[in-house]
Amino acid sequence: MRFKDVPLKPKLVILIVVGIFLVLAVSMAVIIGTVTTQEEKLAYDKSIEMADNYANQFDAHMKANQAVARTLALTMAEYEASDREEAIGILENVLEGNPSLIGVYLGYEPNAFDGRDRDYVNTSGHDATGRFVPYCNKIEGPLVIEPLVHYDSSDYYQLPKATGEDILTEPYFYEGIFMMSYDSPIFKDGEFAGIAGVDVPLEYVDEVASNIRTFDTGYAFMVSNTGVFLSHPTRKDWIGKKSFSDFDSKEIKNASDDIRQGIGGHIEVKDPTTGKTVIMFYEPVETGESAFVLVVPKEEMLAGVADLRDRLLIISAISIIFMAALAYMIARSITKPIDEIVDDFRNIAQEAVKGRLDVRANTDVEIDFREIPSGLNEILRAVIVPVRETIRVTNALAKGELKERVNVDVQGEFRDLGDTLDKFSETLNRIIDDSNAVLTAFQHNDFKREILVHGHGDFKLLTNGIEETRRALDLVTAQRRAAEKALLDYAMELERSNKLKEEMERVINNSPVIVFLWKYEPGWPAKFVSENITRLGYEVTDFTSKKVFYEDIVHPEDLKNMHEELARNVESGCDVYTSEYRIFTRSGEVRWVDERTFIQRDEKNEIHLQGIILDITEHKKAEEVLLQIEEIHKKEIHHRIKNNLQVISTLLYLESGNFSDRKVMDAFKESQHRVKSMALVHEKLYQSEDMVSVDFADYIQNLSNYLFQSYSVGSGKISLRLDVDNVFLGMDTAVPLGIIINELISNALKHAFSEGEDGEIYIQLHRNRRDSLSFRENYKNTEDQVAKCEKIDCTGISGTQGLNKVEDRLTLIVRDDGKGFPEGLDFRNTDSLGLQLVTALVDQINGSIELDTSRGTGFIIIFQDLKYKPRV
Amino acid sequence: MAEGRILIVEDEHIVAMGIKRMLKGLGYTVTGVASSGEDAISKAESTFPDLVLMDIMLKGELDGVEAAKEIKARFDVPVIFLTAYSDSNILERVKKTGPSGYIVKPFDEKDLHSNIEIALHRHRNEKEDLEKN
Repeated sequence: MRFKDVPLKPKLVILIVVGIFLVLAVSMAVIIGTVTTQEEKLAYDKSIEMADNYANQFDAHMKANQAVARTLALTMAEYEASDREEAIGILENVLEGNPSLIGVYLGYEPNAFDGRDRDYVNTSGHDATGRFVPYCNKIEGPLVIEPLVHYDSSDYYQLPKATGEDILTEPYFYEGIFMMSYDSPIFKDGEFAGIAGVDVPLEYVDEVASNIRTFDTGYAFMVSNTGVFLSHPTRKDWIGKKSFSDFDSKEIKNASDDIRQGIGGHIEVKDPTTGKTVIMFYEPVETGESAFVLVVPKEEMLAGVADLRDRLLIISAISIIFMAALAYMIARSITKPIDEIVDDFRNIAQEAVKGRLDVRANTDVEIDFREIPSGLNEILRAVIVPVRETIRVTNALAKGELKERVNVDVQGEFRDLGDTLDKFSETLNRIIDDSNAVLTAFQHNDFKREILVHGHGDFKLLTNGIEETRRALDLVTAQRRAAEKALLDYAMELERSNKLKEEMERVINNSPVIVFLWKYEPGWPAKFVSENITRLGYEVTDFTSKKVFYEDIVHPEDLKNMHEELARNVESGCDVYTSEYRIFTRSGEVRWVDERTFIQRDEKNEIHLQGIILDITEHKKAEEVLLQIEEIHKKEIHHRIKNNLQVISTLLYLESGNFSDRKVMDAFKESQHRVKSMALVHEKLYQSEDMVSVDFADYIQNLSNYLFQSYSVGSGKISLRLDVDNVFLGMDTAVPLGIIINELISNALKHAFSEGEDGEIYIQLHRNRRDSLSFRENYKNTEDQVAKCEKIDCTGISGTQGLNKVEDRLTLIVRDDGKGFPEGLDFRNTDSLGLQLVTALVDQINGSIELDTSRGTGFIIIFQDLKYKPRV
Repeated sequence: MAEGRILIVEDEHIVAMGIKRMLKGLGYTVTGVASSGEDAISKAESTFPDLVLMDIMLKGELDGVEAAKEIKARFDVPVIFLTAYSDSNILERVKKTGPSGYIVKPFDEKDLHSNIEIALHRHRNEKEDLEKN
């Protein structure tokens, strides 16, 4: 049986009772423990005090007895009378005055009292030698005087004699009486004379100690320091005979040790006489060489404690019973409403199982449990609403109202229920709507509308059936439509191509491009011409009626070229070519046109020309303007270069003014001439028509005049003779050649003639050509060649402006009829900067130089005009 | 030695320096160097030259031809043109100003000397003729 299955009520009771029991048990244990300890302590303290008191009492007795002995000894020490009878009388008085004593005695050394021992042989209180040893006792009852015995061997006499101190003897039996003796030495004139002593009967101790009672059965006794019993209330036979050491008990032995050392204490031990567990308190008696022992049965000592414990136990038991009753009441008050709620719950559960959901839980219960029935009622409400809603919607669906939806806001699985229902009606609705839509589309001849919503199961039969029907209908209508469309397309295509044609014509007629179809026959009669021929002032009919031939409107200067070009292209099998030429409008105006012609060859190998012409007069004009601008730019550049060279020349002139040395001034002058010769090239260039080539004849004329002037030979003594062809040279040749000529003329002017001598300088420049065409014309021809058609496409303008293909060598001769070139001087290897420049520059223009010294000095230079690729 | 006060109009100052030295070497006095047409007119007015050597291509609004026209009209000073251009257009315009000389660059001292001397001489004669009449 699990703890869970135990009803609440006993569970509560058990828990409360056990709890209280535990609490009480613990507190009781603590209380009893504490009280017991305290009670015990009290009892102990009491017993110890009692033992202490008795011990002190006995101590006082003993002290008094001892004092008697000592007083007697001191008295006798001071006693001078030496009267033996008087001394005995003192003894008798002392005995009578101290009833607690049984005997009083003196014991002198032989002749120590008065030196008259001989006189008292065998008299009362003397021994056989007459030694004074009176022993006054009342052992027999009446007071008698007897001599002492055993004083020669016994401790009572020998110990004081040996030590000179008081002693107390061990208890002993004498004449049937148990006693102890106190002995004190007597000193006369500082020497031991004898002893004085008293006998103390121990019956008196027994009487006192045995009468002591403590608690109920507690008793007391005394033992000597050695543990011998001095008294005992019951076992009189033990007195003087039995000792602590006779008991076989560890505790008693410990106590015996303590007593011997004069230490107090207590032990718990089993009483050998009664067999009860007792506490034995022992306290030493200081003067008596003994100890007082108090025996208290433990149970009696702790009787109060036990009583208190019992009472507490009873109180606890009562409390437990009371608490148990109370726990029962509490448990009942808790479980009762729970039971009620449980009963109510069970009823509702049973009703709900039977399908009756209207039952509600009673909410009139304790406030602490009220949440339970109200929660239950809420659950019932939450359940009943969706159930009723489901019933309502299902009924609606059954009536065909497919739009009906669950419209109650519920959660969790109830929502799933509602959603499922909604989904079902939704699906049904969609299938029917979709099928309906398809069928409606049929009525409007639309067979494209497919079944989109396919049902499952029986619905599938319906939707698939509709879909198949639709497909069949769709196929038939589609075929019919395709046929109609093909017809329509064809019609439209026709219309479109007509429209396209018209549009094309309109585009052409609105454009500046005029379209021609020519026959490849003399005069180029036009087969077709576009209407926009009116742009040139002509009518279409002018050409189609052969009133005007195309040849008629072409500028006569271009006609020959056109014929040649066309013939060449036709022969070479070229298909397409372009040409630019001039034509006349009807009003006689000249226009530039660009013609693009396609040469058609039909199967009969007849040739037709199909082409467009475009008026490019404006382009031509713009081109010319551009060329002019470019020319101006070139001119500007050359002008600036020339100006800069002019500035350099002037700088050299200015600088030379600072020197007076002839050589330095000459050097400056020569440099100035070289710069000048370069500046002159640029000047001739910008004066030239094409800005590319220099009229070199003109150049040589200018340069030599300048040099003649500069060297002040203008007076006519030295003449200049020029034989120069009309030669045009490019920059790359003109500049080096200019410097070469400058150097050679300068040399001639400086060195060839002596002062005042007449002479001639001859300069010749000839072209080494077989034919008579000038270089300039030849140059132009090469440009024309470039424009010629190459290969089939005929449109490419190939750049062949590299090195001139035409071998065109020139010969320059500079000669003087002076005194001749110095013999032994190699002009190729000389210090003269002028000649070094000449040879270097001849190399630069790929030329060769020869020295002719047949008459005067002549240099013959053969070179070629270099044409580099344009250096952009 | 020649005599005469000459104003040089040349926008390349280094070239102007060269001309100045040449003229000094020939014995003339240079009254100033102007680098624009406007400058030339104001210097002609303030330095009273006997003759102006005028470059045609100048900086600024006025070119040498215009400036020469103005100087001739206002101060009656003869002008000799110095130019690299032998362009026919310019030559036509130059002609209209009635120049006292036309020296084409590159020139040398002799060119300068002879041209200047002729111009000065002619101008003096013209003046004398005017005074006679």
